[in-house]
Amino acid sequence: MKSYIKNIIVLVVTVVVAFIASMDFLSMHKIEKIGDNPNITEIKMLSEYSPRLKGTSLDTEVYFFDSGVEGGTFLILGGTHPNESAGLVAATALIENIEVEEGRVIIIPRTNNSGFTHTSPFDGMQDFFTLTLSDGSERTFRVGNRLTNPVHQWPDRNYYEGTSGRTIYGTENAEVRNVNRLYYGTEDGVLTEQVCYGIYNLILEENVSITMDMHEGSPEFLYLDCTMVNMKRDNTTAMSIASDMALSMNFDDLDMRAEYSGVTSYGLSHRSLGDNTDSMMTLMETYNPSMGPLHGKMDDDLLINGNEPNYYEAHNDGYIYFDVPEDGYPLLERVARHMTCIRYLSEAYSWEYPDEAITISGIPEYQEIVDGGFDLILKPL
Amino acid sequence: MDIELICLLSMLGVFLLSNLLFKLPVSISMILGAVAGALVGGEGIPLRHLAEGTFAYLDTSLIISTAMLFMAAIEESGALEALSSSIVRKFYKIPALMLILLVIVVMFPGMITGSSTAAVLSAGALVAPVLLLIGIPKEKTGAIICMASIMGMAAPPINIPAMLIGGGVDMPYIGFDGPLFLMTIPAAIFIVLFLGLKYCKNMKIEELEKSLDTETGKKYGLKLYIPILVLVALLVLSKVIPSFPQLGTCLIFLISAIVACFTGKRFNPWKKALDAMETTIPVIAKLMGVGMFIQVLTLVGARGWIVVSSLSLGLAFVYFASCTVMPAFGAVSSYGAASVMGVPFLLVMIQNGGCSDIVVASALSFLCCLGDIMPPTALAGNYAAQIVGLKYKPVLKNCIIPFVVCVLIGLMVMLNSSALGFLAR
Repeated sequence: MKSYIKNIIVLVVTVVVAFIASMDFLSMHKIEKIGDNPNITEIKMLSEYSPRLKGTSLDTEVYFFDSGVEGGTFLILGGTHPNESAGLVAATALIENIEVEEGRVIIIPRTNNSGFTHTSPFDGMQDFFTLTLSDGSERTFRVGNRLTNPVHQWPDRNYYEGTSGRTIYGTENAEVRNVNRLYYGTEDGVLTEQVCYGIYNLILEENVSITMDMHEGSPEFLYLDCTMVNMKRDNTTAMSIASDMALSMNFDDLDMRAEYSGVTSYGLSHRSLGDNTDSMMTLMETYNPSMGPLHGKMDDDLLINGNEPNYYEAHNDGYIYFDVPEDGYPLLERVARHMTCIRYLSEAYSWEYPDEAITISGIPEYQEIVDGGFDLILKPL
Repeated sequence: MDIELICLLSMLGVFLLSNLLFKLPVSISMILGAVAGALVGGEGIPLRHLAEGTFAYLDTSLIISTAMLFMAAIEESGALEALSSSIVRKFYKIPALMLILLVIVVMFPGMITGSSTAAVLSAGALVAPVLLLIGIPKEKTGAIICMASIMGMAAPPINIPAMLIGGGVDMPYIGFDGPLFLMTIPAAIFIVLFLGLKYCKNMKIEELEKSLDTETGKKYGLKLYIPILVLVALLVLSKVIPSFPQLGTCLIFLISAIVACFTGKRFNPWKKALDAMETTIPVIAKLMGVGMFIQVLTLVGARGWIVVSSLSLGLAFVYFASCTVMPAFGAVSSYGAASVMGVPFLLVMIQNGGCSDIVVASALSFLCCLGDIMPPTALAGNYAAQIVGLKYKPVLKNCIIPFVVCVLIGLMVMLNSSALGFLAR
C-alpha cells in the first residue's frame, strides 16, 4: 500500500509538471502576425504547390507582389532555419515595406513553419524575443529550431536518399527534417521534403528567375558574409550578378563575397534547386553569435544586440577566423545586410537582364536602417 | 567571480551534496543540481527547459529499453548459452585469435550504429559469458566488453562524434575510415590481449565442457540463433538499402525479441519484459537527469564559459584538454564533448597549421568516445558491469590502463597527423 501511495504521488507530480511545461511548449505554436502592406497582391499557401502539405503544420504563407509590369520574378526565402532570426525579420520587413515597380517578388517568411514551434534540446534557447518600437508597441518574433519539429515528423530514418543525391545517415539522420538538405524534394516524400517540393514547384510554375535563401551561421562557420551562387545558369553570368552585388556592398563598407556552390552540396537550395530549375539560386549567410556552442546566456542582449563576449575572446585568442566585433553584431545590422543584399541583387539582375528587370522600392539604404532602427522597417501592429 | 562560474559551482555542489551526503540517486541529484544552477542564474525553476533537456535522450532511451527487452529474450531462450559453448569449443586451441575474434564481434554493432550501448547490450552480452567460461575474471570481462564497445563506437563506418566535429567546421564525413581503423583496431587487440590472454593459457576444454550448456544447442539447433540473425540482417539492410522499409532501431530490437519467444526455451515474456525494464529505468533516469543538467548549463551560459576559459589557456592546454577534459566531459555526454569541445579544439589545431584536419578530427572523436566509460553516466561501463553481475567500480579499475593507452594513441595520432595524412585519402 505504501509503495502505491508513493507511486501515485510521483505520478501526480509528474503530470502536474508536464502540464505546466506543456503550456510553454504549446505557446510556441502561436504564429506572430505580419503587418499589412497594400502592395501585397495575393497571399497563397505553399500547399497550392505541394498539395499533400494542406492542413499540416508545415504549410506556410507565400506573399506575392506583382507590379503588373512585365519582368523577372524574385523569390525570397526567410525562416528556412528558424533559429537564424535575421532571415525571418528581414522577410517580415520586406513584406511590410516593399513596392514592386517591375516584375514580381514572392516572399516566404517561414519556409519551415514547423521549425518555429520548438527549440533545440541542450541549447538552452530563449523561445522568442520582443522588439519595442518608438511608439511603445511591441513586435514579437519566435526563435525556433533549424529542423522540423519531431512532433510533426518522427522518427528519423536510419538511411535516407531523397531526390538530391545526398545520402542521410549516421548523425545526419536528423537532417531528414532539414529543409535545406532535401531539395529539390518530392510530393510523396517526408513532410519536410514536401516543403522542398512545394518551393521547387513554385519556382517552375511561377517561372522564378532569381532566388535568395536567407541564412545565418555560427561564428565557427567558414562562409559568413558570403553569398553562394549556383553556377549553372549562364555560368559566369550568375557569378557576375552576385559579384556586382558583393562589390556594391563593399562600396558601402560591408564585407561580402560571392562563391560558387560546393560540388557536393547536394540537397542545399543553392545547389539542388539551381541544378534542377532555371532560377538563378543564391544563399546568403550572416554571423549569428547565438548559434555556436560557445555562446553564453541566451537573453535579449545576445539575440537582439548580438553581444557575445565569449566569441570575441575566442577570436582574439586566434580560435575563430571570423572577425568578431567587440561591441556585438546586432540583429538590426544583420537584417539590414540581408535587405541590402536583396536590393543590390535585384539591381544587378536588372542590369544584366534589362528585359526581365525586377525593380523593388521601399528598401532603405543599409545606413538608413541602422540609423533608423526597427521603426523604419517594422510596422506597429 | 563570473556568474557562470558561480552557477557551475552551485550545480556541481548541489549534485555532489545530494549524491554523496544525502545518498540520493544520481538522477535525482542531477535534477537538483540543474534546479540550483537555474535559480542562481536567475531563471527560476525553468520547467520548459528541464523538460526539453530530457528530450535530447528520448531516442537513446527508447533504443536502450528495446535492446534490453531483446537481450532478456535471447537470454531466456537459451541462445546466449548455446552460442558461448559453441564458440569456446571451436576456438579454444588458439586463444589469442579467439579473443581477437570475440572483441571484433563486440565492436561490430557499435561500428554499425555508432553507439557503445548498442554494442554492449547486443554483442557484449553474447560474448561476456564466453569470456567468463574461459576463466577471465568478472571485472576483467566487464572491462573488455566496456572498452571493446567503445572501440566499436569509434570505429568506422559510423563514428558520431567525428560527424559532429566535422559538421561543426563544415567538413564532410569522408576520409575518416583510415585514421579511425588505425586507432581502434590496434587498441582493441591490445585491450583484449592485455586483459584476457593470461587467463587463456591454461584453458582445459574438458573442465570447461562441464560447465557448458550443450543440451540447448543440440535440442533447438540453428533455430536458436534466428533472433540474432534477424537483428543483424534488419540493422544492416536498413542502413545499406535505401528502399528497405525503415523500421527504426527500436522496432528492429522489438521484432527480434518477439522472434526469440518462439525459437528456443519457453519463458513468460511479460514477466521478463518487466524485469528488463526494472533494470533499465535507473539508467534512463540518469540520462534524463544529465539532459536537464546540460540544458541548464547552457541556459545560464556556463557551457560557453567552460569552453572559452579552456581555450584561453593556449595550444599546449588544448592538447592536454583533448586528452583529459574532453573524455571526462563524457561523464555528461560524449556527443556533447564532441560538439562543445571537439569543434573549437579542431579549429585551434587547424589554425596552428601543419596538421591533417581529418586525422586530427578522427583522433578527437576517438578521445570523445572514451568518455562513455566516465561516471556517473558511463553508459558502456554500467551496462558491461551489469552483464557480468558486478558494480561499476571494479570494472572501471580494470579499464584504467587500456584507457591511458587509448589516450596515448589518440595523442600520438594528433601530434603526427601530418605524417598520417595519407590515411585520410
